[in-house]
Amino acid sequence: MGAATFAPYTFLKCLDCGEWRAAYVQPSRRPTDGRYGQNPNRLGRYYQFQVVIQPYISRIQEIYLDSLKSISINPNEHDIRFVEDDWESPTLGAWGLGWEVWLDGMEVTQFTYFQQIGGVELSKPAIEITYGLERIAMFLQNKDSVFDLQWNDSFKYGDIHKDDELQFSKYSFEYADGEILHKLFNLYEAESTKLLSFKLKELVKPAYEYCLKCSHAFNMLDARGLISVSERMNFILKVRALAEGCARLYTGYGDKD
Amino acid sequence: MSEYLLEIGSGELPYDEVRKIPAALKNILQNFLENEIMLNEKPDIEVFSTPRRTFVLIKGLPLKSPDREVEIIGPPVGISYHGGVPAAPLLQFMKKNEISDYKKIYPLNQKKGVYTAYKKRIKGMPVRDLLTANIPQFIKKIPFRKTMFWLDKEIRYPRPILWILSIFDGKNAPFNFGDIKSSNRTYIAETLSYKMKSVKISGSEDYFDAVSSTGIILKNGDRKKYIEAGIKSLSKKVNADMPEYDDDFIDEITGLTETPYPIICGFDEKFLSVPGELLSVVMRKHQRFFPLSKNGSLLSYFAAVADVNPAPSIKESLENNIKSGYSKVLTARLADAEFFFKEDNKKKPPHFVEETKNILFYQGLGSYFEKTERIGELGIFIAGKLNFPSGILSDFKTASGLLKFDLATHVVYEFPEMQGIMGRIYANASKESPEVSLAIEEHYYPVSKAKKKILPSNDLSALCSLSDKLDTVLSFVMLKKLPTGESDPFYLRRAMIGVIEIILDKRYKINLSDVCDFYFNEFFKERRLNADELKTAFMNFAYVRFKNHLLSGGYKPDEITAVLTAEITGDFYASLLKIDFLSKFKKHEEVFELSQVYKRINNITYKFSEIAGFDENKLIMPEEVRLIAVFKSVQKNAVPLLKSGDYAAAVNEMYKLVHPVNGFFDGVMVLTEEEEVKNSRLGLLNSILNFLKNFCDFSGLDL
Repeated sequence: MGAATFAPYTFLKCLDCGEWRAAYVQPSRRPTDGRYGQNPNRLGRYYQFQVVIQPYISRIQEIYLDSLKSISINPNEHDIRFVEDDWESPTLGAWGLGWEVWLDGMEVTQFTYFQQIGGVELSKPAIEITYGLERIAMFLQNKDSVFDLQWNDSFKYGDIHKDDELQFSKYSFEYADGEILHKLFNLYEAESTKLLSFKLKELVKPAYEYCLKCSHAFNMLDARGLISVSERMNFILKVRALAEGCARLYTGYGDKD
Repeated sequence: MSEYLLEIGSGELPYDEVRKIPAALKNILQNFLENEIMLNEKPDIEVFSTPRRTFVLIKGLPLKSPDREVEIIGPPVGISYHGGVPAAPLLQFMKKNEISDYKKIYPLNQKKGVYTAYKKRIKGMPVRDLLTANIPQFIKKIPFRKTMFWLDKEIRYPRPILWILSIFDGKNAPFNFGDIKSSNRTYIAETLSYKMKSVKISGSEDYFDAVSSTGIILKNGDRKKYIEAGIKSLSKKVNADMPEYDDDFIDEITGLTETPYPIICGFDEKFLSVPGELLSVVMRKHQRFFPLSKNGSLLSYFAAVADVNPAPSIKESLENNIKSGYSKVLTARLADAEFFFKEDNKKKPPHFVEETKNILFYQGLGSYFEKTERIGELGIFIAGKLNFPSGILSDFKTASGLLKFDLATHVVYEFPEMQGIMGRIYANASKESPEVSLAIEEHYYPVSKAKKKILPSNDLSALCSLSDKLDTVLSFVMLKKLPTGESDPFYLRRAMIGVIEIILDKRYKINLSDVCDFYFNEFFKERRLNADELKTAFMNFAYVRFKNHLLSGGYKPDEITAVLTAEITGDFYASLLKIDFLSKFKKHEEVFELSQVYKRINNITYKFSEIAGFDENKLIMPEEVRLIAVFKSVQKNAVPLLKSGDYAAAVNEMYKLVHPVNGFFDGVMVLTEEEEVKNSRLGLLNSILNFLKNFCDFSGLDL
């Protein structure tokens, strides 16, 4: 998936609007960011550490700074900034206000107070803190290239992931077949739509999974440069319709219609 | 006199909210204190804002607000009395407002009729109570761009509120706002720690001491000055020129800091092989750094503003951390830009031109490649109308095909604001002529740069810009997607305004109606369009933008209307000259008398829906003969003057009609019994009227 927010443990769980506190590592893919493993800072696939807290707690910014301190980044010795970043995912019908957190100029975390998910306004906003693991690791290990990160005592990040980057960049930018991706998008969309049409809450997770696959197919087409500005909107609206369908089914929102 | 302190502490606010808050909040408070509770002396209100706190200080407050009278409105008079004494509705009103003597109630004219009214005396109240009771409303009234809620749906702010301080004359003046209970404490950073500590405040001096002890500069203007001075002295140190920037950029940095700390850092010189424009965009947009240059060429230094207040003991290590962090993050960004630049350089423009076949301009309007084909044909038509020399024409043929190729490059995909600029750079590198390369950049003009509006610098660039923008507007006219209401998703208004600005700036005499006719004759023919309908839509759209442009240029509505109601060809430059002439000479006798004559004729002719021409043989009275002779000579002389745009001379010529027309009206009965004579007289007058319309509709002028 494209980001930890897409995981059902954020997208669906926050719609429950109860007490939900979760933390998980989410491998994420952004095909357009692939650089054939040549750029020391850009990856088509990377790790996010996701923290979701619902409902709101007021000391959260300070708790976040404590969390940096606990991994030996002492906030007193760095320029840490909370810079406006109104987060919006048009494909998920989700938005929130918040910040990107800069650590000496480097964005290391995305910090959002969710207001809406899947087109449904949350009755209790959720706090989402998404740590960029590679960047934080580079900072801690003082490396200029992500591939030089020491994964453990024997392996570097590059030993494990550099070839992935090369292969998937090659695929996304050069070999991905537009026609097939279009077909896949349509198939995934059809399956998700069909699952939603049963209006059974116990099918919402599979329906949502196909919605995510659609989103990925769309990202692949985008990376391949096969989507124009105006077409992009149509694709986004299609994925969003699925995401909103899942959110409505999950919450029972609009059942009476 | 008393003082009141209010501080709202929150998570870091967006910079434009920080910028907006002081004026907005001051306004709200002022209105309340001066107009609502009618304080006799204007209190002194100051509002400060940083990303983390909004601070209000009101001095010169009385302890109590004065007693005042408020006019309250009761039920309509018609239902209020029965036999001269109050009826039920009025009695109810009196009870509710504790009015004992009904004779003090008086009638008052309202829009809906005559109502009962009463001057109610409102006792003064402690100002402290009035403030604490009303501050929550005031916070809600601040016109923020975007707000959120965190617990209570009714309590919104751009980021969660963390604390509120409210102190009247040194003492806690508490109130509640959602989950927040106000107190007499502020929060500032602990020494040598990121943790916030709360500090008890007893008054404004105390507050300012506490806050400034942590290096916070409360006032936006002061922070901005501090930053600018810091950047200036640091630039000097590395022998760089003071960087240029837009207001918005420095305001953003001001709004991003509470304790600004300007600093100079460097990056690897190897990146200087990447175009400076691209490096600057990366620095400014992605990192809010100030690129530094000397005499126009970029240096491998940049200035930045951190938000720290280091104790002397950690100053050096903190500075080193920041410098190395900033340089590292910029290096990563620059490496990315360099990667794209190098990738692009592996291919030549023709390759990218080919690629634009795969980039859709808009559903139903084809690819960008097709767009440039239309631009090419349209531009040649426009160049013909403007009598451009063949040199420009051949350059245009080359340039038009290259206008959009950079959209297919990596750099523009990643940094869309580099469109045009990269096209110019890549075209230059592949040995296109300087004019052609420049036109690729300038076809996006007019643009605003560092507070100035820049227009295309020459005819070739102007032609490219006009052709592209007109194609955009006309193609969306065809799709019937002209903007309605506020939103303009395809930037069509901006494109149309650009066309108008170029035409006026370059003094191009061209009829937009001809361009429109050409366009729908030439393109999208297979769609069987209703060309008349599209033309009406386009011309309306163009005229509205043109009118707004003229109004913002200071021309009066009547001058604009007088010219534009008589003008339908869309020759905006000619219209501008006429309007400009009117704005200068409207009050002169010639124009005044012409307008009187115009009205005199119009008063008769407008009653007849169809008026044919006139038969000279039927008009034999001396006044008629004289008028016809003068009219013929005026026509002969004025037409070339109108064509060449010499409107002063044309109006002088038209003025010669004034006396003969007046003589005609004095000596001749227009509406005679003889049908043929009457028709010829009307025909003559109508011809004169139509002729005068070549300049303007004089009847529309406010004189």
